[in-house]
Amino acid sequence: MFEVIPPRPAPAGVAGIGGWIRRNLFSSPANTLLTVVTGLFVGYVVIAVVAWALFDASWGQVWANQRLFAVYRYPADLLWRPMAVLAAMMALIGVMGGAGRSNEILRGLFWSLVGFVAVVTVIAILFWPSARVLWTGVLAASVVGYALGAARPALVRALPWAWAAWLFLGFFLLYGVTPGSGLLRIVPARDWGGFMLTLILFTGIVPSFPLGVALALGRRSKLPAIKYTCIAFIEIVRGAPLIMWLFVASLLLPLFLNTDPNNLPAILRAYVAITLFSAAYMAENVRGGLQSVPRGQTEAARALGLGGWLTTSLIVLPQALRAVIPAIVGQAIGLFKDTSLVFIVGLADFFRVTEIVANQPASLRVTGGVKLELYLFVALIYFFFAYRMSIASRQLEKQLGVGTR
Amino acid sequence: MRKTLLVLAVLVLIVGTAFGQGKLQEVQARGELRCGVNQTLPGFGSVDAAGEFEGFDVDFCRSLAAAVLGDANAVTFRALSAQERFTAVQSGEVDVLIRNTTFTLSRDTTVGLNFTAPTFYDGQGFMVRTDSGINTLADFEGRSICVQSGTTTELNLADVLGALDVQFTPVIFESAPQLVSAYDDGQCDGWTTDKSGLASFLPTLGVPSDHRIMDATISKEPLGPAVLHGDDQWYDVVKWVVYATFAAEEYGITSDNIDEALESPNPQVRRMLGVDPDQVQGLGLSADAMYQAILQVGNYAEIYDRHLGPDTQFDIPRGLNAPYTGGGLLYSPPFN
Repeated sequence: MFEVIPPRPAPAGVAGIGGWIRRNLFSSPANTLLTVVTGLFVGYVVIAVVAWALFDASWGQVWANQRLFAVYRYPADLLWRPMAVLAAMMALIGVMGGAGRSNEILRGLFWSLVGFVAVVTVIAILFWPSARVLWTGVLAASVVGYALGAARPALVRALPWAWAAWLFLGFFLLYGVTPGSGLLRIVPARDWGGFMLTLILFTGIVPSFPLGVALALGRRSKLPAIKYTCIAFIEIVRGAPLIMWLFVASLLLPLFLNTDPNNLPAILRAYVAITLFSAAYMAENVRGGLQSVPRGQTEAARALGLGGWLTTSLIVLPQALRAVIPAIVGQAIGLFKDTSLVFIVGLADFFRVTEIVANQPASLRVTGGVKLELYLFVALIYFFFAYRMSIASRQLEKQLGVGTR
Repeated sequence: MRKTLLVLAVLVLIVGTAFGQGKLQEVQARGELRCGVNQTLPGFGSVDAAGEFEGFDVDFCRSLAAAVLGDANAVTFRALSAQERFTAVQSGEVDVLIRNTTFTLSRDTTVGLNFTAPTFYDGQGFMVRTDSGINTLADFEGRSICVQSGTTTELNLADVLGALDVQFTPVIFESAPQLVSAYDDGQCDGWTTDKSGLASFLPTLGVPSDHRIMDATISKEPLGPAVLHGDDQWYDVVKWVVYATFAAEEYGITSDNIDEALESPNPQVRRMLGVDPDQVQGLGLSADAMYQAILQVGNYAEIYDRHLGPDTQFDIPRGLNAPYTGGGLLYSPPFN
């Protein structure tokens, strides 16, 4: 006869947190020593940094220059315009997040952004009387968007149109309509900057996507004229650093278009350079995806009687793009940080504002300068966004099952 | 390739100027002056927390706008990087470049600029640590020196130390703020740039008292406004507005007492301020142009003291930047 032994809990020291610590940190004398030494070192660094940040650092200059960091020289009385664009963006993202509640990635992105906005809103309510209403509005717009998306998931179908309208109206709202003074007066693009400019330049990834796909398809074309034009574009653009293309766009674009450079804002020139540069890399990413689609797929489509366009758009591209989405997200993260290169053509993006603030006479009056504080602040903001995107990219890879097929 | 295109651009513009209107008329018709400035050089050009440009160079833009347009605020500032500043003048993107730019022969010729009277006489110096034991240029033997690329300082450094046969390691940086951090971290033994630059960055170092500016001056760095070559009328305007700030200091005219100066019997003062209108009108400006410039922005000493003088943290001695009557180099030709 067998006697059933009741299950016993795992011995202490193997299960639970204690067990994990023992297994991973104190499994042998050498390991223990390593743990202690590393622990002391990490603890020392963390305590030193926190103590510095709380007691020694002078954050006054970061605080005093919040407008420069956010929008550079965009007029203070017109801040509601970029904020309205931001509110509309958050509302649209809210609809996406609300409608795609079951999608871990969309939901996560939405809540991270809302969290960021909420933190800023709390700060605004506490300390910035002039920005209270605006930030509360942005927060409200996000929540309303989310609620709408959750209640009416069908709204998602209107999203591409909504985004296009946002891009178009957003530009006009930022730039203005009427000369002179007034609520909708024109704000010359040279006064745009700060984090707003970083975000604007980052959107260059959007037009670069269709361009990149077109270039990748063109490169595989059987027509020599198209094929070699595309190859030449991709290789030439990829063959030189972004900084050079920024210069080229800044100096030569007005010449090619035969126009007064003042009619062609530096931001537009930088935007064109960034978009084309990004398109060339996008093309190579997409081409990798195209090559990963087995020939059999094309042949099968042909056998079913599909023509060239239908084969490409219904059979090949969907599979190809699916395979390279993580690579494209990686490229987007890279571009987000590369936008800081625009300082070379005199634009004041988020990073450049750091140097502008560091060189204000007021910053020099602070003993020891305020560079560390400024760079740390900027690094944290960049890190928040870049890291959030890289989390999304990893989730996306898992969801698409890239690498497991 | 780039050079050819630039020359082409300059040619197109020169031809355009010859057949079209001059820069002066263009600026007056537009109603605003486009001025190329620095936004990361404390004391000379920076942006304050409210988003306004301020500094020594910036004030000369305002003087010019006051003279040409009657309003010191009718300026659009265009922040330029060291690398793009000349093309911005060549392409007509800015009307005048007032961005701590050294007047040199090649910039006058190949680059195609015209420099007015220098507004600031600078000279390249060195900052070292007090405990480094470096006292003369020869002491840099085997040491490293931080320097910014794309500037005259890089060339001077190689020229002068090369002539002394001193072997040193240059450590080159793209922008001044990076360079200062690197020097402060001890990545190089010395740091060279214009002495005004050294003085303005000294307070930002971790422990300012650990550093000193060496006595040696290895170059002439006359900094001044520049305009595009080929438009003499505009060049004259910019030049004489600068002279007016010199002359006003010489005659003791400030923004405060300028209305009394209008009664002055001194014929030079009367001509400059437009009481006798012919001279200033000859520039193509209204008779009260210089009056407006000094009333709204001030004379040279007022501009200097506002940004670089003893009441600022820089406290750069006037030195060569005193009027000739005080042993300096500021000398305005007569307003005859």
